[in-house]
Amino acid sequence: MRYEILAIDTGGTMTDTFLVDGEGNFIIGKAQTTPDKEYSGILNSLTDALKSSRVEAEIGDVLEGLKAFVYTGTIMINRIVERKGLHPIGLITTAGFEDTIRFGRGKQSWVELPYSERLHAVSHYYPTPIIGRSYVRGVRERVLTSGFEMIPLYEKEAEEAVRYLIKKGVKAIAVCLLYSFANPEHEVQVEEIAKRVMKEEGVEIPIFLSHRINPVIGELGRLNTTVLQIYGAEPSREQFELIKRHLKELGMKAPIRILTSYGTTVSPSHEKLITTVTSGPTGGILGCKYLGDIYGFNYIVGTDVGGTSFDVGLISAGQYSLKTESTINRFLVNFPMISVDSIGAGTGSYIRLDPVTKRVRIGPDSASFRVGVSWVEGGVNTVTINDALVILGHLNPDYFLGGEVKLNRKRAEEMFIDQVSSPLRVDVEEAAEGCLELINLDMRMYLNAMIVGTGHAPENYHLVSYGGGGPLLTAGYTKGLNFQGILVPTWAAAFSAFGASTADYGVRHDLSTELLLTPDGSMDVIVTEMLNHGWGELKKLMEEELKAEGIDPESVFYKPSLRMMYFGMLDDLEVPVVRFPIREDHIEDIKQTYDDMFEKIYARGSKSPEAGYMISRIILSCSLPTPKPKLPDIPESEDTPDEKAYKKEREIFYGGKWHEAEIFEMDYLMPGNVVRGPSVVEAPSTTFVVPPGWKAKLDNHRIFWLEEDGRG
Amino acid sequence: MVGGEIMETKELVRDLIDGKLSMEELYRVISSDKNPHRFKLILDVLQEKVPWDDKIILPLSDSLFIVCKDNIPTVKCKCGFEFGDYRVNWKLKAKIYVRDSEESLQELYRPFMHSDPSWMEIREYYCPECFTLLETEVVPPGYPVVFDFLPDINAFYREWLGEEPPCEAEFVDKTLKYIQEKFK
Repeated sequence: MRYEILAIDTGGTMTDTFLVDGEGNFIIGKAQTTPDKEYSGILNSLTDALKSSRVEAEIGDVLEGLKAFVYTGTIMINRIVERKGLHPIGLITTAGFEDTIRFGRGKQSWVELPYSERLHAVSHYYPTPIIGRSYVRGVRERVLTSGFEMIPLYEKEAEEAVRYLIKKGVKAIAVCLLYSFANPEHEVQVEEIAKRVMKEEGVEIPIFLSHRINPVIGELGRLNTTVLQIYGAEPSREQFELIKRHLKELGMKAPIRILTSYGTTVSPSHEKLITTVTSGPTGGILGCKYLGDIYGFNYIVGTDVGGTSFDVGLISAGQYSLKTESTINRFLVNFPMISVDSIGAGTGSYIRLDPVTKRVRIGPDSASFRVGVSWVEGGVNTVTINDALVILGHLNPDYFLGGEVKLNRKRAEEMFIDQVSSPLRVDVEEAAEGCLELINLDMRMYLNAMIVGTGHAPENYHLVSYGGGGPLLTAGYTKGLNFQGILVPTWAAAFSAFGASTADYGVRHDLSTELLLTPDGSMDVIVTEMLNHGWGELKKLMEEELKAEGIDPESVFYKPSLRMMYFGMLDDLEVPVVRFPIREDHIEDIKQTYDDMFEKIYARGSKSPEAGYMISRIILSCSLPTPKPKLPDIPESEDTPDEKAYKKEREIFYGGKWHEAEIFEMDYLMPGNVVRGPSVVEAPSTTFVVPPGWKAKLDNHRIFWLEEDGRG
Repeated sequence: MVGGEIMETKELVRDLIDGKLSMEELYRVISSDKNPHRFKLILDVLQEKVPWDDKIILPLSDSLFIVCKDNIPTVKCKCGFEFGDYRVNWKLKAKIYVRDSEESLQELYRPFMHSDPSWMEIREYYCPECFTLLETEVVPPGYPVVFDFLPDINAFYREWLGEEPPCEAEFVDKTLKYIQEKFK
């Protein structure tokens, strides 16, 4: 047995390892993240994983045998949040638009705040700009939205701007001119001038052009993406190199790949590395998609319960949805991201009483990795959901993270009484269960609203529950929603890392455009030509990049697509196109595909092809098939678990009373086994609660199917 | 997610008053529950900042405080100048500068960017001793002097803080009486 794929997810606090061999046998590991030297956290996590392996293995041997190494994590976002990026950066922009970067968008003052604070203008504040005003220089020029040059570039001003920025001692220069996605000529000109000036001055400063980083409509988004690329992504390359070097020294031959926010992996030398900035939640959705492909489900909702947040992503009609606009640490950006929404509700969420009304409030802030008051060393003084779970017996205080973190139930109870139950004049168990029911209700309503908001019903979906806290709360937050099925993978704790390992190597380029397909078809010829031209350009760009990364452009698989909408509508959908170049008569097929998709995602009645179609983006993705993990496939045995699987019984509180619950060790449960509530399945990385009246069957892929007894 | 508990120490409150908190820290103060002890901390910090010893009962503005002086709640400037009983509008003892002409308004605004002086005037109130600008009023000409803030100190201390007020003072506006007596 040889491990083939290693996926690492370095979170803000824990580094998760997912290591899988050719037959789908996997092991998972966890270790504290080490922000100063990521590689040591990665190695610790890997060591932890190997400890749980039934076969003795040396790190060196494991690394040497790897076929793929996938990274996803918070290196880059931390750099941005902590404002430790490349500094100072100079910016050359169209004269009159020097303040765009400071103004941002009104939304930036509240976008990542919890709902309660969004409502209060007094809580709003703007992110500190990454580029100060004195580092911004405007040059006169103007290109229209059509790409037509209305005012030529004032070359003299560009030259002065470059000289000024050199004098200011900038370490990089960003160039972002109006509508450069429609016609990049002026940006290219600025680059040429800058290079000439630098030569004269005898300096060398890297220049980044917005149309290369993100040729997409929306000035601020393009500008922010470019600036964040320079600020956050460029300096992170070094860190990735360091990880690579250390692992190479230990014998790893596989290249390092990083998960992008749109669901592929790229190498650390990828030009638009900023697209890997928030890939954490992406992994989970990719994992769901992978499960969907195996089981044949087209409608899946992925739910990730972490210490801090509850993340939800939908797969509808077999596709995850990409959002084209989003924020990074409050900065509006417009590169594609798999859409995952979240609320501040996790197992570490603080429980507080409103001092005036005594209403129970959960979150939105959390103790995150510091668990709660039950972990004395964590230094937390406010009770959390984890504490409630310990009090109710759902969490085993002696088996948290496999017993590495000892929790103190007595302390949890005392502080819970003091802070919650005694002011409310109820029993501590009742209060703890009430709090649990509240957070479940929050999650349940959010989940339902998200699904119903897309025009579907939970009855259409299978739900996958993952994250360290997912299996703990699954029954609670799905109760009454009637999902098709509820899947709890035994590797829930490292599911995001698993998902990351299923991603192909690939890049994607978007190009904004405005092409109208008139109802009479009179534009079809021109549009066909423009589309082919767009894809051609993107392909050229891609080939350049692939060569730079040492990949043969012939070996990859190109996938053209479009974003389009009915003319006059505001939201576009992504339409796959079979191949390019296309012929004029393919336009009908594209329209048909869009119609079908629109019908599935929205409703038949709201289609409106009468006014024609608008194509808003030309997209080209390429992918290089890479080894993927197999799921374990073990024939199902009898439904009674083996005796080895039983641990000591424990009382759990549920539905207002204590129950004698059976406790199982997850590793010893075999496919086919059925666990009936009240019971708790424990593993070092997670705890799975099956409440009274529920049962869970472990299937051949080592995934639990949770359902209410007697249903179906 | 931003947020989290913040310990309200005296240092934090001092930085809050001095405007030295970062936006993130300030946000956490704003979004947290009200700290029942904050008022005490604020008084402590303010008391340390003024050069005199009279006990501050309630701050009125950046430079004005109500202090307990000979058992009478008295308005006092940070420089030490005393405006007398807080129930008499302190503005009566301040130096006043009224901007009611184009010329004086254009010391502050560009032409056509200010109000019409026949409709609106700006009254600036200065401390007679340190000449700190204490308050500004923007009112139609002839409008009575505004009494900005007349708190019920007894009620505030007894009903809100649950303490005995440092100075006993009946809650009435004594301004009119003062004018009648002073400007016969």
